[in-house]
Amino acid sequence: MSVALVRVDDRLLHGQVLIAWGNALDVERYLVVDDALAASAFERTLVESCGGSVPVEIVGLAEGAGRLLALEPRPETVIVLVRGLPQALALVRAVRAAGGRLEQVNLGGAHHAAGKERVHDYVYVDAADRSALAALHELGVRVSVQDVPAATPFDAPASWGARVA
Amino acid sequence: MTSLPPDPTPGVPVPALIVTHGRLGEALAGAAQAITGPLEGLLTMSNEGLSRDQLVALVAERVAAFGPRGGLVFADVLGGSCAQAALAAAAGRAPGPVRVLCGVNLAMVLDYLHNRTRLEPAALADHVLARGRQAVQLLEAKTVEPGSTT
Repeated sequence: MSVALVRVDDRLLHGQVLIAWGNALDVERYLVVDDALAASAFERTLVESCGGSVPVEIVGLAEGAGRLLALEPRPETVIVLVRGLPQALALVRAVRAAGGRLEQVNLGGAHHAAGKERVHDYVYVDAADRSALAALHELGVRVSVQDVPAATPFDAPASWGARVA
Repeated sequence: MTSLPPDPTPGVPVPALIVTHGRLGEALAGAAQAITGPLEGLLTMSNEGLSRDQLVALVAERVAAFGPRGGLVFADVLGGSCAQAALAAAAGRAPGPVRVLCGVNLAMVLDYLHNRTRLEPAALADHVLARGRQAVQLLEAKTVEPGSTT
C-alpha cells in the first residue's frame, strides 16, 4: 500500500489524523499539500514536528501531484492532506494530467467559516466548495465523508455540490 | 534543590489558558476547582467546530489578553491542533512571553494553581512541567507474602 488516504481537512495534520488515522492505517509518511503552509517557514517547522517518528513532507499545490506520484510506487503507507475541496480538485486534476490515478477523496473536516453553510456536522461549504465537489463528482471521484476511522463513511451527496454560474 | 526565582509581581496570578479537544479543558478546570476553590485567571477553550485558522486566531486573542507579563498555555495532544495553535499564538503577536505546556493533566493544573502567585511565568512553567511528569507513574501494590506479619 502506498497512498492510503487523500484527505480534505482544514486543520491539515492534527490529532484526529495523527492518532486515529495514523494508527488505523499504520502510516509511515504524511504529505501535506498546501500553498500557505509551504510558504511559511515557521508553520512548516511547526507541522513537520507533529509527526514524531513519522516523516512529514510539506509541498505547495504545484508540486503536490508530482510528489504524490513519486511516492505512489514506494512500499510505505502515506496519508495525503489538503485544506479544502478546491485544493482536492486541483490535486486530482494535476495527478490525472500527469498520467496518474486518484479515484477517491476522504472529506474529513471542513469547519465553519464566514460564508459557509452547514451540510453535515463537520462539513460546511461555500460556493467554491460546492463547485469543486460537483467537479469532483463529474470526474468520477468518490468523495467519502468520514472524520475518524471508527465512523461510518458515506458518499457526499450530489446535493452538496452545485455549479456556480 | 535549586530555589526558583520568585515572581517580581507576587500575589498576582500568572494567567493561563487550557486549550483542548472536546471538553477536556473545562473538565480539568472543574476538577481543579473542586479541589482548590476559585480559579480566576484560568481560561479554557475547546477546538470543537473550529478550523485551523479560527483556532489559532482565538488562542492568539486570549494569549494577547495575558498582557506583557505573559502566561502559560496548556494543550493536550502533542502535535494536535490545540498544541499547534498554542505554539503559533505564542510565537506570534503575544505581548509577553508565553510558555506552552503539552500533555496537560490534573496534576499540572493543580500545581499551576498552587504556584501561580509566587513564581514568574518561566519558572512556573518549569515547575508545572516537572510536577506533571512526576505525576505519571505505574502504580503497583506491594506483593505481600501469605502469612506475613510485616
